[in-house]
Amino acid sequence: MEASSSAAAVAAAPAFASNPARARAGTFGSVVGSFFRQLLTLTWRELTAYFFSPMAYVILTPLLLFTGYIFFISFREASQQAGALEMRHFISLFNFLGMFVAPLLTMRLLAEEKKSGTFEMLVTAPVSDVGIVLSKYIASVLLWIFFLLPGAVYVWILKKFGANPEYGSILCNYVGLILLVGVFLAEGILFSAFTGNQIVAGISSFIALFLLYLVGYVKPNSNWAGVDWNEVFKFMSLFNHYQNFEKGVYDTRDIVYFASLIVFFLFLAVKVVESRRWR
Amino acid sequence: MIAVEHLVKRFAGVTAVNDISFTVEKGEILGFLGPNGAGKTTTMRVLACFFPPSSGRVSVGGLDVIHHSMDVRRIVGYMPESVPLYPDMRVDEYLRYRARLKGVTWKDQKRRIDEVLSRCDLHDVRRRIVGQLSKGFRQRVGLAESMVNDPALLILDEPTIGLDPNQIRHVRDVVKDLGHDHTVILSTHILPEVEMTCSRVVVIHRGRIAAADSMENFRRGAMAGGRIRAEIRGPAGAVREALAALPDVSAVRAEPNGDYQSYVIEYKGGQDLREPVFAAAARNQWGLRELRFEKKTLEDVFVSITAREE
Repeated sequence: MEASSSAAAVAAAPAFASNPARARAGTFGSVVGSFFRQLLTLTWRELTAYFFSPMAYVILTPLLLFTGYIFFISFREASQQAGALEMRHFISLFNFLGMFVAPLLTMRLLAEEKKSGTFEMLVTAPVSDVGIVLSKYIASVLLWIFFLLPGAVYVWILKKFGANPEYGSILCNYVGLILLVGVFLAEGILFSAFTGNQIVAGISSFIALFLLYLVGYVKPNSNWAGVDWNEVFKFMSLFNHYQNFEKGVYDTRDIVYFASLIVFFLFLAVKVVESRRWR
Repeated sequence: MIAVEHLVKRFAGVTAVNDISFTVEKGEILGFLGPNGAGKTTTMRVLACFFPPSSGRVSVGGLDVIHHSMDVRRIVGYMPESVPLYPDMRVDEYLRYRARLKGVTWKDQKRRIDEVLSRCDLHDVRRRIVGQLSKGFRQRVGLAESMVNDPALLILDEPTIGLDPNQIRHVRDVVKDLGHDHTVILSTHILPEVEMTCSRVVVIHRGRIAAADSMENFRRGAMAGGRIRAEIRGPAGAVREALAALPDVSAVRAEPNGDYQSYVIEYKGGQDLREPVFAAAARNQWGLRELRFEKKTLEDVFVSITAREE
């Protein structure tokens, strides 16, 4: 059976020699090359979609107004008390806001495609399911980084008014912030893959994030099975893994924790997208 | 070009397609006929690699849809029934995006997009936003999209649904034109459409193939015959007897209509029975005030096909 099908493929190949896409497929290098070309095309489409729809502006505007106001207040307070305004407190504000922003950014991504039927167009194009999920994820992360860029203004203001910002530490805070919200976004894409309803996707992904946040406050004070369960719950909480970044410390454990969660959620999202094949 | 062997597709508890086999040669235009829910879309989705068959073998251009899914998708252009498009993009932006996704090289993109724009008569709206286009234009954008990488096989699910007569004619011409150098599968539940465009017909009914033949044979077989309506004034029993005696007549129904009787004469076979009816009326000196031939509708074809099977 196997041999006969590949023989048929060989026999059919000359018929499509005129088709450039078919002729190019084949070598490992060209397969990888076309994967990244497609990833770029898909990611660009997702990014532009954020700005074609009012989504990006609707989220960015209140986010900037709110954080700008907080910065202004804390800056004034710090200057009155002759203390130094610490950028890290300001940045850690974003990881809480990310919990609200991430579901808004991701809820649309797959749910809308499913609802409008463009999902069918997407998966019948010669694109891998991994490419589809990955491009949406990359686009949402890039948009989040874009949201953070105006923060550079605050660093500049601090410098201008005589504070001495520690650039290395600030960068570490931002790396942590991007990783943390990177997990939120991956989780949001998973929930968006489950349903054809954006609102359901958004709310359920927010609830799941909130549970991951609450888990850090669970203290059963139990030593059952010789394990300190307080530590276990502390380890599970996303926000506790952010604390080292806040201090300006890159800890491999935290980076591995965030990265593995991102891979885990994206892997599940790919499986959900694939599920149409075996359902 | 296409070989479908014992295709079965089951969804949780429902068998949408049950043991279908057919082949399509290169350059043919195949019409998929069937009532709603017959399994047309499911079969097309399997061919377009949206989901794999539950069992059976399906290959496009000699490539298996499971083992060489990516290669099959490269040579297939698929337009779903709802013609899903991104409403926020401009027509040419959308076509360029899809061309890139389908692996059209940078060098060829402009040429390919220009070609499909003119084929589908879209040059005037190329800078318009898709979401603001009328249904007819959106349908054409979908058609242009499916052709953008010059696929060897085009799968069009109900390409003329919801269009006005002019637009239907235009889509039909585009499809006919494509048939010269492409293989096309289109589904429809409008019989004349198949008659005008297709070279082969597959009738699907409840997930099974009820009939599969070339258009000529189909025309001679399942579509042959028809129905004649006649209003005749004369002794009801004698008229009915005379009409039933005409060749190939399968049923005669009568309904009183004032002085006259309205007769519906169903018959099989290729010849036109209007003249024999007239002759019978003239011979017996019955009054005849209406004589009308009605072509078989899709419903009649279905009834005759499914009745023959059972």
